[in-house]
Amino acid sequence: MPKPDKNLRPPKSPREELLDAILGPDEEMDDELADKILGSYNLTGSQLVEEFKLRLQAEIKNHMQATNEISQPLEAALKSIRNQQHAAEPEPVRADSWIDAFLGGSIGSAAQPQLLYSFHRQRQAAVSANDKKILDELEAELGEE
Amino acid sequence: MAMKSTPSPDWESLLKRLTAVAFGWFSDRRCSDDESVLPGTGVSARDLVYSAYLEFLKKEGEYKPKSDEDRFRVIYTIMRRDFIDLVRKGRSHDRTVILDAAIDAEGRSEFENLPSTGDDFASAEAASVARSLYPLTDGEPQLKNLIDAVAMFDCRDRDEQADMLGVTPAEITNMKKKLKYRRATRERIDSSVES
Repeated sequence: MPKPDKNLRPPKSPREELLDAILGPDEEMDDELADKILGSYNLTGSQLVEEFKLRLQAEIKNHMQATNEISQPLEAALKSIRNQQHAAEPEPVRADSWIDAFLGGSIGSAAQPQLLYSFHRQRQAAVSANDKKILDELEAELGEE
Repeated sequence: MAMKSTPSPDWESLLKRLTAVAFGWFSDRRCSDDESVLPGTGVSARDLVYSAYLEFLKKEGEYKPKSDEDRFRVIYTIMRRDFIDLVRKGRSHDRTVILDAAIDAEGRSEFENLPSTGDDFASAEAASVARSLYPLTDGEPQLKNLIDAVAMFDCRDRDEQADMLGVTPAEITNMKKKLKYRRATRERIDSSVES
């Protein structure tokens, strides 16, 4: 990377230098601390990415309307974001191939048998006492098998 | 010969870190709410980050970043410049004028050129910074000691700070993170009393 223009970075004032000495420079912000700070604002990284993606799409549209040309760097950025979002999603399970594999014995034979529950763990207040009792009994029953 | 391509950025990590930094700056201006905008500008911390990132993307070819750290540094610089411009722009707003009575757009204080106040602080500027950060200590003496090590003894090096406080440099790092977290979050609003 070429050295950035010396005039680009605003010089730090004495006040900022004091703040850096006490708090540590902003450049030291890491993922862990950023997560913690964002958490206090009820924000997540994926929300930021999604929101930025919308801004990027709007910017691409504006650029197109203004110049009648596609902005290659912005398009490339959008593609990169979509790829990362796609990669972060869990692989969908294809029913046909899963059933074939199950019947063929390749699923379940190698893995340790594991009990799967399909009912929701609802908040206690959202379930009547009687329903909760039934669910607990059912769960205990399944656990014994 | 195949050209070496620059690895794709880790969008989430970069946006998280830059936004957390911007929240700190906005919090200094008493904009500690997610949707808070700088008075007189209509710009929020997230707006600042997104607009700096877009500006960077348009010129990424010129910067030729090799890593996310390169990207972070350049976008951070753009953000800083935009923030300084925004603060200047917002100065006409009443609330900002009150807040900026002691701090100008470049973060310089009117105290900067004043002689020491006669107390134990290294300078009037150091006293102003220390007093603005004391509410973040929430009564934890070591955090106050760290602030005083800088503000009173001009002790800026992490190892020297560790020696002075009798702790390890790693503990100093954690203390700084704690202060930085409190600065960037709403905890400050509830506990802060300007001295």
